[in-house]
Amino acid sequence: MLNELDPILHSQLRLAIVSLLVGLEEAEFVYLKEKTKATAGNLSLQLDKLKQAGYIEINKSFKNNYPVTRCKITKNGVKAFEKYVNDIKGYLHL
Amino acid sequence: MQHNFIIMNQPNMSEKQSLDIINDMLTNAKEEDAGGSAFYFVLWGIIVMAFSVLTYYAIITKAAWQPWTYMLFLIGGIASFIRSRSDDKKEIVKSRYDRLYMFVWSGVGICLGLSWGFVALIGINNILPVSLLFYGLASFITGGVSRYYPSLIGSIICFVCVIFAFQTNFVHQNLICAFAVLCVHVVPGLMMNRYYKGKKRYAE
Repeated sequence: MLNELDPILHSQLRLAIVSLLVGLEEAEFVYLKEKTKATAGNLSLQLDKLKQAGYIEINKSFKNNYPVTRCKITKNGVKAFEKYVNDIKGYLHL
Repeated sequence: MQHNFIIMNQPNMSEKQSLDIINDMLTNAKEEDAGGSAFYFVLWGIIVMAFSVLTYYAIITKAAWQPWTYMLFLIGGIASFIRSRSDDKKEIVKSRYDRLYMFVWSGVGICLGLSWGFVALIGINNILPVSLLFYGLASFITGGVSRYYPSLIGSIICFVCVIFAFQTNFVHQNLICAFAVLCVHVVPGLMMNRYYKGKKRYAE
């Protein structure tokens, strides 16, 4: 029987964010916006959902007197991503 | 192949679409690997090369200015500090390889400092081959992990140079050291720099 896909990750933008962060140490909001081509509002909303699910950490600080938002994947996020990839492979018979 | 996704928030995407997004984003993240380290490779490669050649020249001409060649390392340290401060200001992403490079090369710096500090115990004829071993090992690890083959090839040439260096004296070891550093640092660094500049131009 196939596992149900994680609803938090089974969304284009949230999946793109987690897939980027899993290969990086950390990334700023502007980097995620540039790579995902999402709008700032939508990206901000999805980052908040991922944070609430415990998949990412968001750290807000200042750099050169400008506010900066840094995102980092958590251990739970990595586990959820790995499970999601395995589940997808199951669906695609890979 | 890069897909140009305009990412919405569609819950009913297909499994194939999911896999495409994962592949694209992982490729994007991988592209961030170690591009910034090219500057340090070239800088320290040129400094160590210049130090070795000048030391060789100073010894054979019995020049009194030889101790001043150590100032090159001070210049390198200052240049690295300024560059890293400037990079920190511009940096919007940190790759996992940044951490690897930092720890491996900092470790090499500590080992080199300790080795040169105990040069009297290690022996003047062994110090350069030992230093080259550290260089070779660090490039072997970072080149292998990041799959950057010019560094890996450079490290193997460096190991071969160590074999020759152990069989000659300190004076000639300086020339071997200059050649090894050219292969392990300067050439891979210049190639990396060229690759990332080309990629940046292409992106623009």
